Amino acid sequence: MSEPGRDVSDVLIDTLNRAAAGAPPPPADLYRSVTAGYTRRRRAGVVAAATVLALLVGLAGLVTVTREEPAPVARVVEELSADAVRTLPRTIEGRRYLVDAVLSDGRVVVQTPVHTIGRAEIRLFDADGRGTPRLVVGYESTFAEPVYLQVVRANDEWLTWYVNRPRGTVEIWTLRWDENRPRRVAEVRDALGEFSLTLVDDRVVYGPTKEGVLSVPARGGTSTVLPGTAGHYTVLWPWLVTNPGSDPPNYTRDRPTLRNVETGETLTAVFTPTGWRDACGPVWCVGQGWDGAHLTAVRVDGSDPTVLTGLRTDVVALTPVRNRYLPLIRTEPAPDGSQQLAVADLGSGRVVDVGRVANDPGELVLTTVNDGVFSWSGADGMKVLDLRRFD
Amino acid sequence: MSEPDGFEDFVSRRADALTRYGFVLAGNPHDAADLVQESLIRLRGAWHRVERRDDPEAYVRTTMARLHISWWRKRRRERLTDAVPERWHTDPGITRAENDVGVWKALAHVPPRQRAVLVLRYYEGLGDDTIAERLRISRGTVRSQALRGLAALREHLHPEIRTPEESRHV
Repeated sequence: MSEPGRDVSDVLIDTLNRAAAGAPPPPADLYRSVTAGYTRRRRAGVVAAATVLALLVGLAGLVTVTREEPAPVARVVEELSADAVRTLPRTIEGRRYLVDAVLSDGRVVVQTPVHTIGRAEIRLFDADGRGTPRLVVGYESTFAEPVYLQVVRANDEWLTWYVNRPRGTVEIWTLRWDENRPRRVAEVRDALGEFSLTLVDDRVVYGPTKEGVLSVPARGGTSTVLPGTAGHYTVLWPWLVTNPGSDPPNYTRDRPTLRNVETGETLTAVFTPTGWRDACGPVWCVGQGWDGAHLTAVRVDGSDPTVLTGLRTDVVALTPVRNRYLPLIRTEPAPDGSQQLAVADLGSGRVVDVGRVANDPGELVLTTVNDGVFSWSGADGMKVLDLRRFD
Repeated sequence: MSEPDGFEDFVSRRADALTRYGFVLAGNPHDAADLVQESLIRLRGAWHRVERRDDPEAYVRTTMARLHISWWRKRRRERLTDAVPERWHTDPGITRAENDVGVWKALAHVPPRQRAVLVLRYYEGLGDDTIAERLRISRGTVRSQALRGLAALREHLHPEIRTPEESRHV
């Protein structure tokens, strides 16, 4: 495996340099992301200072954020929707995995990601969720040719995913379930930040790119740019969102604008990004503070400002599923020290505990939110909450 | 708001190198991208001062190393799955590439501060004094963290990759 007696530090130097050489390139819009982040943060500082000043001079009425807190824990999710949570095996052949989608017949699409080196696979659990899931497609990722398996989407007819190759190329693939033959349907060389895929019936919508958001038939064909989508990215199909178009952005003048590409309807969010990260869907805008906590939500029209106290998120998307459900983690751990996962229903203001993450101290919490599916590692296996069935 | 002179050029010129550094520091492309972006945002806020008095590249790299450690402290209990070390297995055959594979995988088991010290020493080629300054720790701590990091690395490596001294006793 190595020259006899070779010092580990020598090997380490080689390894680090080879790994660095295989690192994916920075996103094409890095500079814009940096200036946007800086501008947003600078503005947040101004807003915070103005708020403090307003309070100091007794003008608290100018501060518009209300302190409506969601109701405390009501019931566990199993009582609300007995079939919403499923339990799958903890590992696949000893490997951890991510849950990507649940098909209407109960089959579950999962992926076993790799850490640069190894075999990344997409697999499919049968409806009963038992046994070893069927291998759908696999990639060998090596130092020389690293492959990063990315977003995986599925519906009852199609599966789509993309992989990052060295030098920044994105390959988009599809597979029709009844054919089981992977097709490479597009290659993207100018993918921008927030790049994602959406499966819309038998089309794959992808972007953003410098041209805009594109669509390609899942069975293959010519990619077409959705008109007028430059600067947009998909947030919740058919809604696209565009953040302020100026560069650097001016959040006082430019608000996030949402556009329904099927109906042409547009919405301008009455929302000022003020924190670490934020997202606007067609109904709610959600913002997150610097520490993962200090979550706030407000309807796109500016009504119902809400502070989500005692909750935080670090790893899940901020766009509410089905325009109302937001998977989160309670700030305080459960009495046994485990992390308590919850779903906030922004529509009703309730927060429902959905489960605990079974983790030893120092072990990592695994949660994913994909296509309305929230998953985590529970005490007796991988838990899968289908938020599309959550009422 | 106008951009300060030279900042865009700096980002354009150094983004690739900083991303490579972030990758070996964090061990995965997602955290690497976050480290680069956050550090550049901070550099943007301090650009005039840093450009005038200091080395912008050193500023960013220092920020990235510190962020790597502090983020891990906050996020040690909730990380994305792809940061989880894969199950260890030894590939058949004896090649240099596999040697690297083993070391890279073993690095995932090295705690972040120790990993940062190893990266600064063996990738950046920095001396202990500079590492101590960058990570705001003592020179003695740099040495102890490096020793522990190498020990942690060896624990997860194939037995053939050991120090010369150890090899003699294998």
